[in-house]
Amino acid sequence: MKIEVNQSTCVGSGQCALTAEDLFDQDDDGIVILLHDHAKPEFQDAAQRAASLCPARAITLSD
Amino acid sequence: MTTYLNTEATGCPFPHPPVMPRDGTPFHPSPQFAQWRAEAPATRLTAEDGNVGWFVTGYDLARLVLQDTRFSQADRRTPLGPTPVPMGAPIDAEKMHALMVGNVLGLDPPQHTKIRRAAVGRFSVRSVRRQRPAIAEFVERRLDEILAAESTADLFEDFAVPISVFAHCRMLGIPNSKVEEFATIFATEELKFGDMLQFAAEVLDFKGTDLGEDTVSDLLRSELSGPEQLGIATVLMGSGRDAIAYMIGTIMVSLLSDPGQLELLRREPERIPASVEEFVRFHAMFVSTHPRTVTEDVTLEGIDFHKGEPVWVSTVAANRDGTRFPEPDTFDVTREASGHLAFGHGVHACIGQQLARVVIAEAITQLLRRLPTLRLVEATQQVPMAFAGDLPTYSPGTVRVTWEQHGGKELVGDNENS
Ligand code: HEM
Ligand code: HEM
Ligand code: SF4
Repeated sequence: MKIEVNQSTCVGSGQCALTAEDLFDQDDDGIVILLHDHAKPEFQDAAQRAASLCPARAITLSD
Repeated sequence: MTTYLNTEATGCPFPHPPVMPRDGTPFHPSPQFAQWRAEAPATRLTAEDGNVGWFVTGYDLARLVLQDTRFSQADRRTPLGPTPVPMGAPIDAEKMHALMVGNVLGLDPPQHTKIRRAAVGRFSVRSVRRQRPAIAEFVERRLDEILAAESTADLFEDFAVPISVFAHCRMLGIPNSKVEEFATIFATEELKFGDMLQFAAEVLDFKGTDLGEDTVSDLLRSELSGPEQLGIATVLMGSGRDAIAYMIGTIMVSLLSDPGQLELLRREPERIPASVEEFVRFHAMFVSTHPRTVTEDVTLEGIDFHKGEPVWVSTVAANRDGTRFPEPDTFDVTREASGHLAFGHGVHACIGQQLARVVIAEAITQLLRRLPTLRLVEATQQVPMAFAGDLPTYSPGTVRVTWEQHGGKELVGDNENS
């Protein structure tokens, strides 16, 4: 599963870093950093949860 | 020619839906919301000042509206109508301008984006976790003092408020010499916007000469203009105000009234951080968020929103939508409740939410550990009450508790949270 983040729409809510800390972090300005652009099978649920919780719809997933 | 216009009419011939119902409590929202939701995800509502708009109770629609910037925040019309508020210090044109350019909740992108980005850095998950030891230590000290004094307390005033003020001041960088004044201006039910602005201006001046590792310093280091800094600083000081304290007090009323849930968390305190999601789902404080205004005609979930209409999204009602949260009126600390709208959604989603999660978890974990015999005597919130202001939220009131004098003493000096 491929993950993309849009740093210009991210509002720094931290929902991704809270729910999927293996995949997402935030920089000093609170903006999302993608740690892995592919989610291994065991992280796919977490990736999906983060994408659905992101208030700014800044996370997109594709196969 | 006959005119059909009846100039003698004494009332409108069309039925008006009721204004905001007032028979709810923080635990049991008015049953009216569930009835409205059963009919449609949004209900035509006439606000008390005569504005007609939509009150959103369905979860899916609430999310869609909150994440759609065609619903603008630039205009505010509250469902209860404006209530006069004491301003305190006068608000001159300059201060008014600061609020207009810096209040994130009243701005749309791109200005919203610019201001928000200058403010969020310290509120990240990582940065808030660094504050955790200091917060834990403060909670521990507060409990020592409460236990040393008496065998009764008001969990709101004596426990929740000081903790929330401490965490808030630390994040923002309010100088120690001003914390007490901060509490009298911001941790109170009577909002005086003039005093808030004046206090924020003083803090900005004070910190200007002594930048630190905190949010106000970040604002001063940012590219924001002076008025923008003042506006956002005021909003940041005013918004966490007593939201965290309200939550801690209200959650404790629920836990102390529900022995099963309470015992479960006492036995398995490591569950508490995850249970915070259910805590805030169930006790969401915004019966309505700040209103949005429709900027162009748009149809969502079968509702035709027309340009110019106000839209009030109920985070309380959305969090009790059974299609999203089965048995929504059951408080269940084992539920997977994330996705709730207690902290809002969309570009205005709560800036302080990661801080709120950490503070709530820490306060409740230590309280349960230190006071195994804690008992609720009475809480103002258990009966329906008036809304706290012109935004429909409740006041926390008192949360009177008691415990057996020796119950907690032996447990002084834990070090699990370091
Ligand atoms: C200058 C205009 C205003 C600013 C900057 C402002 C800012 C905010 C913010 C940021 C929140 C979010 C709450 C949170 O996260 O804790 C909030 C909530 C709230 N606001 Fe406003 N608001 C304004 C106008 C008003 C007015 C005029 C009233 C009514 C007297 C009001 C009453 C409330 C209430 C009752 C809440 C609920 C939560 C709480 O008690 O903290 N606000 N406000
Ligand atoms: C349990 C505690 C809290 C709750 C339930 C809460 C809830 C909310 C909600 C529902 C919103 C969205 C309002 C809307 O869309 O109309 C909001 C926004 C906001 N909150 Fe909180 N809040 C809490 C704590 C805090 C704290 C501690 C801070 C700051 C220190 C804070 C700062 C803000 C700000 C600045 C906004 C406006 C964000 C924007 O417009 O971009 N909140 N909060
Ligand atoms: S959840 Fe979305 S808005 Fe929040 S930090 Fe992550 S990418 Fe940004």
